[in-house]
Amino acid sequence: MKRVVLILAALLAFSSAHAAGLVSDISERQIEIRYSFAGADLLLFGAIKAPEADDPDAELDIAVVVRGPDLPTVVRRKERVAGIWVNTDSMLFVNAPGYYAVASTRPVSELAGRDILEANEIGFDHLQLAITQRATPEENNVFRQALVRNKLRDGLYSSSVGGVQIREAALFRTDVILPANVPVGDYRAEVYLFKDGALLSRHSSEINVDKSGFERWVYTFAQEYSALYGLTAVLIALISGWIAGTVARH
Amino acid sequence: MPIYLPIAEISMNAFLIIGMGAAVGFLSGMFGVGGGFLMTPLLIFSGVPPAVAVATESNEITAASVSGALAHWRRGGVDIKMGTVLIAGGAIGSVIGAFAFKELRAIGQVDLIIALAYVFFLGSIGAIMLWESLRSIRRSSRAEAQTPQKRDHTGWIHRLPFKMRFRRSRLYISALLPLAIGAVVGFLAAIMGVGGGFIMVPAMIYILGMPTNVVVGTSLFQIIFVTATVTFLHSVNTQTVDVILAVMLLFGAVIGAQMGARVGLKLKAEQLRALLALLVLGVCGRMAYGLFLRPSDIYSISPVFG
Repeated sequence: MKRVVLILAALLAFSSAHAAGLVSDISERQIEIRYSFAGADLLLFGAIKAPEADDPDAELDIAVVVRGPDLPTVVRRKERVAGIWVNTDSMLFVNAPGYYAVASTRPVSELAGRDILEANEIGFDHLQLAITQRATPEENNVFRQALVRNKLRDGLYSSSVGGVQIREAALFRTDVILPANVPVGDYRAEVYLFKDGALLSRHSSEINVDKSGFERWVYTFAQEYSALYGLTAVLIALISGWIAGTVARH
Repeated sequence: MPIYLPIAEISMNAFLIIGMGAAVGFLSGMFGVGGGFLMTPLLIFSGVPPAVAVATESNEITAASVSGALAHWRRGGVDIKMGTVLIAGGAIGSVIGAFAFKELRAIGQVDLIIALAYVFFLGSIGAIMLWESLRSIRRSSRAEAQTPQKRDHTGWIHRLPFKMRFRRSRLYISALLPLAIGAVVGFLAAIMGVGGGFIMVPAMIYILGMPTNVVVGTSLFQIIFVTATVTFLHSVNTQTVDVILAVMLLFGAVIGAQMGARVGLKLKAEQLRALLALLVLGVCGRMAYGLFLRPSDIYSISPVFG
């Protein structure tokens, strides 16, 4: 019910602003990772105002890309060495998105030309993934596919054809699922409106994912005051061990 | 009840964590071992990143050893002088180990080395223990009274320099020996997330020739300091110590150990050793299986470690 109200509110707000072709919002913009965090399901919704509303044949398509912070990521390949599986070759991707979800009304490759998709990095095949080492295009591609495959398995990448639904040629919505292992940082949700293969409009909004409360405090403490954290960890162990020993004696 | 672990950066069931602590605590109470060699693999199998499992388990072992060492201390079972030499060796070994751990993590080989170390040490120690306990079970069934052979320090061990007198252990031996044993244990503690009692106790009995009544207490005394050093080093080098996880594991372990100790009293020593040997070999087998089995995806990803 709350979601319907949100969508209606967005639509009402939009009908007064006529210049843009697209407006969208997200059910939650600040995701806080607390002790009970087991992932978050967000609703991204919005409204389209087609330039020629009276053109019934116009094919409208929507793609929604939610992208997390870029993180250097190493992909490693195992080989059998003396019977056991050992990491051998590796490739460093300097700016792989830590989270990347794409949802679209049609398969990404049918939305627009390759140049438009690449310029906006819509779809796994169109991500600009820089590497620092020399590699043949085939090698690069193999490692790139492996990166995407591993991220898909971890639930950090996803792609969903038909994951966006357009209702009444005006309203759209999609679910954004953030798993428990999402990296913290600034996320950007980008909505693209295509009409007959041309990019008509885009709208972006931001999401922030951050550890909060006690979890944030512990994490920051461990990262920034690591020596003090180590001493505290030892002290906690000594005290709790002593308490345990005393309790066990009685 | 899922709980988010801030350093491991995963969400785990709180009852599962406490349950694992209790299960390992039960076994360590029953067999009188530290349990690091069981807990670290168990954490890895349940999805905790190996580096976090190793560092966090060191932290838990510090706590577990304090309560154990206190009990031995009260009845005079700790040779402080021997313990101090072992700790000095342990400090050297753990610094080298923690440094090696950091370098191995940066080149993506730490998981392999952890697994290889487990397979090697658990495999060899488990096999020796099983052989030895089966022999003594057979011997006791034939009711042959056997006096344990006293190790006499002849040959190279006696010729080593820097001799020291350890009164409580009634020994006059080179300090280099306990120093070396301590260093090996410290190195393993940093790499494997164990206390190292399974190496140190046999080494104290068979190499140093310490009387059995001070062996366990002195080894626990050394383990407190070495695992504390390891915890500190991993915190500084790799930020992989998850205090929340460690405290929850300890909570379970304290309860489990009490129950395990009661069950352990009802079993014969040889039977306990044989069971422990089988358990050690089981963990070793599980680790080896992971090394030889073709992974479902031969490609893996990891963040970049500095």
